[in-house]
Amino acid sequence: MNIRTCIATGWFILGIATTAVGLDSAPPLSMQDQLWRLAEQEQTIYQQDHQLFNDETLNRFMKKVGDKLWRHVTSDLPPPRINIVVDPQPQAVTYADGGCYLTTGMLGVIQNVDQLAMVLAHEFVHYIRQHTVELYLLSAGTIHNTNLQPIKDNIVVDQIIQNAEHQADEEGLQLSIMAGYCPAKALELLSHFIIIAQSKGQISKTDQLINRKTYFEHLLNQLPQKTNCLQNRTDAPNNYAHVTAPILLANARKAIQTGDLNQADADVSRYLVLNPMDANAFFLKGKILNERPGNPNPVESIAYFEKAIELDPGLSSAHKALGVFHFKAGRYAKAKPYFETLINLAPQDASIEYIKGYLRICQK
Amino acid sequence: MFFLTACATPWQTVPDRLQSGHWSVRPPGGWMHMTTQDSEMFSKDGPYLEYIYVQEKPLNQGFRFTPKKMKADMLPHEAAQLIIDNMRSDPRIHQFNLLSNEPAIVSNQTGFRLAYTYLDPNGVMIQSVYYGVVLPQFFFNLRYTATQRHYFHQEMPAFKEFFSSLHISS
Repeated sequence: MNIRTCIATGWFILGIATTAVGLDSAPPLSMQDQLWRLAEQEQTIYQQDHQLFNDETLNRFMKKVGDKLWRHVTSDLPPPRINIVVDPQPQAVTYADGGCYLTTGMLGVIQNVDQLAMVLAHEFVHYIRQHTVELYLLSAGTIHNTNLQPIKDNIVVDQIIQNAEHQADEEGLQLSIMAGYCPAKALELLSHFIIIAQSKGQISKTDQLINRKTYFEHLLNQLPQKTNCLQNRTDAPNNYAHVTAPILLANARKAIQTGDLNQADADVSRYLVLNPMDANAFFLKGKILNERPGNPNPVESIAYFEKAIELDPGLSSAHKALGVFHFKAGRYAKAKPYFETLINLAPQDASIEYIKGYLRICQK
Repeated sequence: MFFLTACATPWQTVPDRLQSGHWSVRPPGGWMHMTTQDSEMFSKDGPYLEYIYVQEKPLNQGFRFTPKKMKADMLPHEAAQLIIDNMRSDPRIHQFNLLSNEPAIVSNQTGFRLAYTYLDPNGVMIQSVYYGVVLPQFFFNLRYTATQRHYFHQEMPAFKEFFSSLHISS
């Protein structure tokens, strides 16, 4: 939850669970209209800047976990809507209207369904408690009528956010337990986030995460012994890994796009452990090698592309990769059949006009 | 607007023909231009409203939002994809919408042409046409960028003439 999101989603002040935060009166209409437009703009921009990840099996799985948690919530609010966005950065964002967005990066860091449940439960509490609305109202006195700039330097706002995070951890933990999940496993997730932040040199974030982990350990220590489920629970970690495997390829593609080839390779390698005969994964392995400066392993990258075609002769991207590879080396006779196959398989490919030009050169 | 550097000359009236590095062009009359180390910027109403930007970028020079670099053996569609990836990773660009991505001849060289729109940090919709060609020593690129409302279409004829007058020496 970031501060801009907090301010921007204050538009749901009226009509949504005003009793949850004990509101006595609505803000002036003009301010409300501005917040409504700003929040709509925020979500629209967020959805337009981020590609939604649609996998039927994964969406069903996420909904099942979400429903299992929501069954234990007493609220007039409609159930939250869980969306997955393609973004390698681990993040979760919840809007005051119940729009809940988890990134593929977050799902890639989460290791089991218990950790997923804790993340969702945390976000659900932000929604149930309408933290964004509360933040807006408590800050309203410092906002001029026509100025909606984020109050980034306000110490009070920082404290409010920290309190909201603590409440989300505390009540999210309770919600997670009521739904039958093991929130103690979230400690491993927090440890993982700390390692990620440390590796990126994010000192301030590392400190925040360490404080959060300490607070979470304190909450766990206060639980009765019988709710310590680490030893008692028999879970099927492979189920979560298999269901969420497709996001690894989505993260890998995004990482290739941004040039983070090491991360892309790590994601594809994890995916191949779960799906060892997947053509798309072999294609991506070849693409990663191909993108390395100087392409130190051309023979190996060709082998990956050829393996991808062997597994799926209809994989147009592998045909394109091999056609381009041979074309650039001047092996026009070898490139030609790959380009012709690509044109047949994928006439709508984004680079098809380029490929037709290359093919004309091959045919001369 | 993202390209102004500390090493720029002041804005000057355009000459009849401008030569810079390995290229030359006939700028639109009445426009102004500013010279930097590896680029020229041209504008009529101010660069926030519209500008033409021409750059001769050394191949070993990176891009701001991607660790990838242009390579001499890159095909036009690969070079185009690198530019697209760089723009998609730019946190200042919102609602990036690629309108077209196609091969193009840039002064008798085989390159690419991109057309796209995006929302800038001030919430203004910007429209742009970007030409690029990978040459043995450098990546030549030329773009026309303007606010989508009014200015982009108003000055498009001037840009077309500008582009048709472009000459890149081998």
